[in-house]
Amino acid sequence: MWLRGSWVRALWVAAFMGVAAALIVMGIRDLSGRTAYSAGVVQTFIMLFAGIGFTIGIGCWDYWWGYLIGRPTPAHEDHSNHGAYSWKDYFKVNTDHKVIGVQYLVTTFIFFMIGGMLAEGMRAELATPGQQYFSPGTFNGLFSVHAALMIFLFVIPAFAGLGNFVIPIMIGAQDMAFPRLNALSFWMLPVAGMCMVSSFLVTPFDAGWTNYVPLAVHGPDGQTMWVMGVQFAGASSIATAVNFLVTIVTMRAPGMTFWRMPLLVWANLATSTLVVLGTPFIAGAQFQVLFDRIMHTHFFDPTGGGDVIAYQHIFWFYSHPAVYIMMLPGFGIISEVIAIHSRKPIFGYKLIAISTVAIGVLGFTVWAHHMFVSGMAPWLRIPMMFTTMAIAVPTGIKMFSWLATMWRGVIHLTTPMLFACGFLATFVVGGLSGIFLAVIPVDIATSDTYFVVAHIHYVLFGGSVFTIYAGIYHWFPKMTGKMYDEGLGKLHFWLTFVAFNATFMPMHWLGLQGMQRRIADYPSQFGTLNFFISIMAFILGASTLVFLYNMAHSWWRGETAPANPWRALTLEWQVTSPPPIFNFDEPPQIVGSPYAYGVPGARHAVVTVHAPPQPEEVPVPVALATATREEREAIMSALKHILVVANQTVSADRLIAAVRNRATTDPVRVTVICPQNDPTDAWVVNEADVRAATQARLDGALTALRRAGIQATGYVVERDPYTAVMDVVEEDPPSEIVVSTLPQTRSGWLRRDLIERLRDGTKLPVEHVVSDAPEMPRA
Amino acid sequence: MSPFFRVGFVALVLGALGSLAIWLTPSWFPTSAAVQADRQDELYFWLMVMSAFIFAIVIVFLVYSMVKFRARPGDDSDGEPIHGHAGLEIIWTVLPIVIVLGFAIYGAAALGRNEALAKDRLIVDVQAQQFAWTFTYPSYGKLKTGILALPVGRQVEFHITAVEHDVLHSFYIPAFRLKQDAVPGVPQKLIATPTKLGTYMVTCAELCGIGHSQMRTVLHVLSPKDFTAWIADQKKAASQPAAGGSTDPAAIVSSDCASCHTFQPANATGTVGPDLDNLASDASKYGGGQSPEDYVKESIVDPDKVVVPGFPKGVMPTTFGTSLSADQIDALVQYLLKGGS
Repeated sequence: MWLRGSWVRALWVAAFMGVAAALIVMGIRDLSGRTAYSAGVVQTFIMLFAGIGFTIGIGCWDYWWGYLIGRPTPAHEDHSNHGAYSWKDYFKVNTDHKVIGVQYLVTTFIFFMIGGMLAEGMRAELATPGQQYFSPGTFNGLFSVHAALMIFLFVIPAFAGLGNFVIPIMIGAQDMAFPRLNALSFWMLPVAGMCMVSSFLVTPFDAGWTNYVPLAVHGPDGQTMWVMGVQFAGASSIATAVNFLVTIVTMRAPGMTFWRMPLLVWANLATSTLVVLGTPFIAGAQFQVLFDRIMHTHFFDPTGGGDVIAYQHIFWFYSHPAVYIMMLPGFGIISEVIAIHSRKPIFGYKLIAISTVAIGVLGFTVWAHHMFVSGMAPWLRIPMMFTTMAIAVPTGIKMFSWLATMWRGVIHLTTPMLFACGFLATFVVGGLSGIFLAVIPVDIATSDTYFVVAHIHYVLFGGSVFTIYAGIYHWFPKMTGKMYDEGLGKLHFWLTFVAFNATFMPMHWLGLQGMQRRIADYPSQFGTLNFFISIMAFILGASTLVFLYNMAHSWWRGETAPANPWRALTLEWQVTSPPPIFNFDEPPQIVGSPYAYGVPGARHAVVTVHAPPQPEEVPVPVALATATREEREAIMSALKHILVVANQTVSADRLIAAVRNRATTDPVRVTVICPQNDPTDAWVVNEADVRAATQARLDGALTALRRAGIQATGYVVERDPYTAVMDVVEEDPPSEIVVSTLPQTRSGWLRRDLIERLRDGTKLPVEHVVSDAPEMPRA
Repeated sequence: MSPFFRVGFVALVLGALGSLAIWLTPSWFPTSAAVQADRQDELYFWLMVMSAFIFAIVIVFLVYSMVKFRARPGDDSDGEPIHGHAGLEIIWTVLPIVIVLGFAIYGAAALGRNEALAKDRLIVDVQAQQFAWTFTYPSYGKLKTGILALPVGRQVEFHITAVEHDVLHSFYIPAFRLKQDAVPGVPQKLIATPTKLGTYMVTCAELCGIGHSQMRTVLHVLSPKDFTAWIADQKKAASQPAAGGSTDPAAIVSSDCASCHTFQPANATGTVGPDLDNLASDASKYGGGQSPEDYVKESIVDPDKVVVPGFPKGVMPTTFGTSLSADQIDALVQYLLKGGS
């Protein structure tokens, strides 16, 4: 318990490594004649080593460590950490992408609640003018930690969590490309979150989530914790993005071409590219801030030759693409939800996919629109205004395509669909206010005011949070195997939708009137509206409780969910709810569009599900049932043994006739084996069904033979007919073999030269009977 | 007419009604007191009209679809398999391009006119520090003031700086619809042309620390005659005390201390830092055996050395040792310790 990967080891290794790092660095400082304790330096080392120690202790590195020290590799892949068999498995390092997906979602939701509480604290303070509950410093901490948690520990990782669960199944893979890296990505998140939240234990960081210098360099001790938190969250995000990229590019099922990928997969591909290219910029910038703080470098310190505005360029070069990192996966979810719940193909599939990529590319060309009043080079404003305007176009294309998808659909207004509709209604506001902010004179008037607060919440709450809710409700049955409560879901939607708009819509007006953002106090003329906003914000917060109750209660005792409650075409709905540990027994074959609703006979994929292993049945011939053992052996050895091999033609008249002919000359006993067939006529091939159909045919044949007075036994065997025959020949040698097949053109066995191979292999007489398959009712 | 065109027509009508409502709404904008503000408001108005139409189109089609095409109970059928429509897709690619390009060009033109320089413009230096504004009038004998006054109708060019070791601020006048960050080490310019007499708020729009929300002052837009009189008054006030200009400790308290500290004799009511009315007792409690004079002086010059418990470290600017002369500091120490006499 103390030495195996576990929470106990996580805690003691984290504590040990943190304390050891602190002591070593203090010792070195002391020996070199400095004061031993410097808050910034010691905090940095504790955060870094305790954080890494936590991931070591919990067990993320065990496999790699064994590899590194040359521990013998087991002959078979070790799956002991893969898949959840009890609720306890969710609290351990697990390499199953589905378990990790749920871990992500639950963890990020905890941080969502914490971030939400901080926001309620702000709204309490802002309900009336003047200072009531929080000192200005604490207030600055509230909104800084609120934004940092919501962005780095909720929206970005929540999408990573949904993607983690859904994407590998959607593309027909068994897991992510790097399952252990995936686990490490997840376990860095609680570390990042603890860094940020625990900054309240010292003095919370208070320079906003943008962490602008020089304030960030001058700021209180909590700044160091923020920087380390961003490093862990960023590393987690980058590792996950690499994982998604490799998974999507290399692990798609046969037939899953790029133009057959669901749009969520497209969105994730674009998002992951943005993360891989962009996130290193913020990680680097925050390291530079940290170095300015604790090593007295001068990257951003003008008195030492540094440049204040350079920070903003680097920061926004990441953080504008980050807006799309927080939007594109949501767009993907909306494309899935709207198409499925409107029972219509997505309108303009290719144009949506291309827009996704276009947003990703353009996203890197617009960063300085955050800096129109920053004092950057003035000429840069105009080109940035044009690129920013341009990015509205692909976003608009998506909006209109979703509306067109709903047009003349058969719309099921389930909770996920309601959230998707709510998203369309609110995101259009965020998109339009984005155009306002892109126009430089309007931006000069409204930037750094509540207009921006309203815009960002319409984009990231009306946009991202609504899509996350839509995604969670949509895939809840798949994740848990239970249905959520539809009534509570709708209540949650309407409460959230109304309270959200009532909270954030008036903020546009406040901003236009000149109420700047990030202020602990405001001129009293804004009092009435702020009071209203605060009340609505509390209702908005309370609406989350409905969601929490619904999720927890439905998971615990909700109705069992069918595999495909939405009658969707994409792959994740073709496996059980929740999906089997390795998703698919065999790689599915993709044969068409994922959105072909209403197209007669269209299929997206053929999925093969193996039958569960069944106990071997010992066949007991009817006439021998009452005989003693000796009698039975005597009878059996006296009879001529004929082996009949057939599948679809097993009950065909010709085959029965051929066997009966033999019985007229010699007393015979017959063993019938039915090797199972490959699928030819279903979207989803469930082996249990195939086996049942085969068994029905076999029973028909045995009945026919027994009616003719022939001693007959038979059973369904594993697939390959040659091996099956050889098994029987070894155990109970027949004197003759009869093989029945379909005509040459349609028989897979004949294509594989079964007859010749049996003659060569068994050296027995083999008769070949050709019949057409009789019509059989499907099981 | 097909349902598609009918719904589209309703959307356009609603968009037009929305635009009309916006146009008829009085006091949509706060007071406009500058040429630049008028141009902003005009742009903002047309953006709202555009938004009214797009919002109406989205909402009308959305709500119509949700109501009209919703599945009846037990309806398990699929919709019509429409995969796309080239014409529509071209329209909603090209039309938005035209709209946003139009606004970009309009915005660029407005920006150019906002920033066109007039010959007779007045230069005012704006210096930001935590948490106060200082305005200097180079053409009026480098007069320094804590509040801003401008003559109406004359273009003003603000030269905006932040104190060297300070942080970012943003010089924001809502009635002008203008703001510009004050950046340590990088001087900035901002052009405004006041058009309306009155008193307006000047505030900081860039998070600058604990006193951010208190970093306000006022702007008076005056007639040219009143402006000249105001300048004369300010000059008189500045030169009243003994030789050496502004060794008047009361003036120093108002301009440098009041936004963060309470000090009743100077009508200062800030709450960011400790209450200076209690300075004598704080000095004996936290001075560590220094004389009260030394303690107060140390707290001004090196404020982080001793921080009164309950207040955060690193907030008070460390620049007063250089920005104030030794005489000024001595006068200030005496003034503060003697409760304003």
